Amino acid sequence: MKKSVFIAVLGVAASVATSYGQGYIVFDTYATSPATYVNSFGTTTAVQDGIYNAELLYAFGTVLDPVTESSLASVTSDPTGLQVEAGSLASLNNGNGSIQGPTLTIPGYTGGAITFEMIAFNGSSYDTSTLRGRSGTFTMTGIQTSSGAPASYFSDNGPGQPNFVVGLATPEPTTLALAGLGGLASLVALRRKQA
Amino acid sequence: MKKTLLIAAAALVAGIISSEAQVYSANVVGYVSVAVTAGQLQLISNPLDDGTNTANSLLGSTLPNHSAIQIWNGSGFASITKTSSGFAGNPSIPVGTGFFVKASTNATLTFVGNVVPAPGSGPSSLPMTAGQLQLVGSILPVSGNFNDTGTNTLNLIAGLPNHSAIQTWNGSGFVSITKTSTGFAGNPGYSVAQGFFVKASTNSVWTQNLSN
Repeated sequence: MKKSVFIAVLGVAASVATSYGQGYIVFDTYATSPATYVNSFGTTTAVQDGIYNAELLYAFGTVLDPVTESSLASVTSDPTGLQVEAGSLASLNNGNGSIQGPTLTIPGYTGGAITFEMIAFNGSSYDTSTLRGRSGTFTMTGIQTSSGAPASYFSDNGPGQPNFVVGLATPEPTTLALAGLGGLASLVALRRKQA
Repeated sequence: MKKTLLIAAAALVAGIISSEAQVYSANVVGYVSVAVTAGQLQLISNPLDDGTNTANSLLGSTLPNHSAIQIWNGSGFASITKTSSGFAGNPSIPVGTGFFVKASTNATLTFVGNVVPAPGSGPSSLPMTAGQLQLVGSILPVSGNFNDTGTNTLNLIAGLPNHSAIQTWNGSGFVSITKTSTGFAGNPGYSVAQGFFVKASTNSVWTQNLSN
């Protein structure tokens, strides 16, 4: 009995904790100052082809994980230390590579610095997409915490979201080499078995 | 030939008389200009009826691209960006509806249309629901003070119960002022096309009237 009461109390405490605090941000890179865009890297399928979706990642506090817009490493590397904002999935504008997405609610945010990163991809997720890219992290000193006031924009404080590129998410050379070695070993093992 | 011309002329005169009669008997047409500053959130409202009252009809030609508006949905704000093709979804913004504007560059928004209500047509009324935040503006394009009452004024306190409150935007946050039996403390000023929140303590109706 005592145990069940204790668990019930814990459950209430957990629900209170999760419902405490929310932040509000507009997932928009077109109405920011300056506006920022996603561009195609090299000869990769153009942003204008209208095949890309975008999502917003976030983490409370400051997370330093920038990328270089002109480097393919920004396409092959993965974001670290952030989580996807549920409900942020939106189509990338195929006219100019901006996002004009929804107003998002960040659960659990009560104030202070918050780090964002935007990802764009052509498949169902960033991880499995053949074409993709990420903005690298950018940090705001704070965002709106009241639903009764207008939501914040990326450029309200902090550097705002940088431009970034999407490109072919080819494996790194070391990964290719390892895959080749693995294949060779399998072949050798097969031939030995057959002999 | 002469008879045909006479009939045509008579029809033309009748048309002019008829259209003039419509203008003078029913509508007051005007415009309201609102200056907006680049990068600043400003809370405004639609002061005139342009016949369509959508984001594109009201702001499509005056609000620069890369600007945004935020519209109140009863519990939170939704942001809509202005692009070269206008506002996605082209939301409706009826006369007397408040909304935020964030302009990408300095601009002057010019609202053109009919004054509501028309002279002699009776008052315009807005139901206010108890306990609910409503983002509004004066239906009549007037300026003055929040305690003004009577024809051609804001006339808000005439219908707003005591213990109700308004929230005005000061550029970075809302200032709440409660209505008591003596009105709003400090009798704050109200400018044409200003938006503000109202939260009525009980169900009530805000009416405004235009003199003949």
